[in-house]
Amino acid sequence: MNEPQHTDEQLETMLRGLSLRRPSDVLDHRVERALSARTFPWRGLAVAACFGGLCFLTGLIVGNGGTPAASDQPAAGEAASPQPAPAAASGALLASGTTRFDAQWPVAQAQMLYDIDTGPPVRATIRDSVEQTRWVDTENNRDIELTRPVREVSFKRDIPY
Amino acid sequence: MRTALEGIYRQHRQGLYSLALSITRSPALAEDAVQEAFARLLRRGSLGKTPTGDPVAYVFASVRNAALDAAGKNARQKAQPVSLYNGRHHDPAGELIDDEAARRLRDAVDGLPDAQRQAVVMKVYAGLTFDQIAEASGEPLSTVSSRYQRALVRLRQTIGDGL
Repeated sequence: MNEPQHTDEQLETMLRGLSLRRPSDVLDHRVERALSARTFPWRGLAVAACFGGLCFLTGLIVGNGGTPAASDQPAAGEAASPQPAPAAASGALLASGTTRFDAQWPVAQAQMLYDIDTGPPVRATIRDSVEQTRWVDTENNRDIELTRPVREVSFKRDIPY
Repeated sequence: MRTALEGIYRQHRQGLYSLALSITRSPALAEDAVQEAFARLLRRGSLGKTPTGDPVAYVFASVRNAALDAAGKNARQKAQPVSLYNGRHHDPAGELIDDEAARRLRDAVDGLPDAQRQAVVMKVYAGLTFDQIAEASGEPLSTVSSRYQRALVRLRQTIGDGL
């Protein structure tokens, strides 16, 4: 058979000539948001807080003569000592920030009368977005993420002619 | 870290998206996967340690994993797979390929087995070396190379049959 045989280079050139489906412009925005979402080192802070809490607790135990606090009562002369219960040490959740990105905006724009009889015309805009809140669960060493849709309806007064 | 990721994203935006699309076969899921991958990379706080320490390969690996996750979560949704291509090609003179052959080639790439299609996307469209592809795929260099060659043979047969 005399089928035309293309070299690898020719085939790759042909493939490069095919027009690829392109990502939407929204992707740039989303990646930018993703990269700016957690610039603060929350995880490091949580680990440091846990470590600090443990050190504090250890210090209290050592200060009490090595007994691991059999009772909740402070030792004599330590009535004013604070409880060793910083939020991170007790395994609490540390809020690490909220990110919101547009899911669709605007969904609708329409002119309407705010008050059907006497009110001025206004332009209503519906904005749909998604809000993500993240927490750091220091006890189980994991991230928790809550995503919820947010719809905002805004009215802007139209200038009547 | 953030600057490095931004640079890689700017340079490989199309390649990363095409890789995610070749796995998820859905534009929306592909964009989700790219975003998720960069969010994970930032959370991790470093570009990780790969055998060659190549950050580009590491980012591609992350996008690939995120896309596989997204595809797995949405496996039950029987949506029509979306093509990697938008139906046009850049060869106005028709020197290398005419419209019909281009269509056959597009269909052939879309119809490749997943692993071969990913290899083609990373090699041809993302411009990665075989070393980088092997790192991004987590597979031996020889496997990746022979897989790519098998994909080319298959595509060559498609073009040959049509001309």
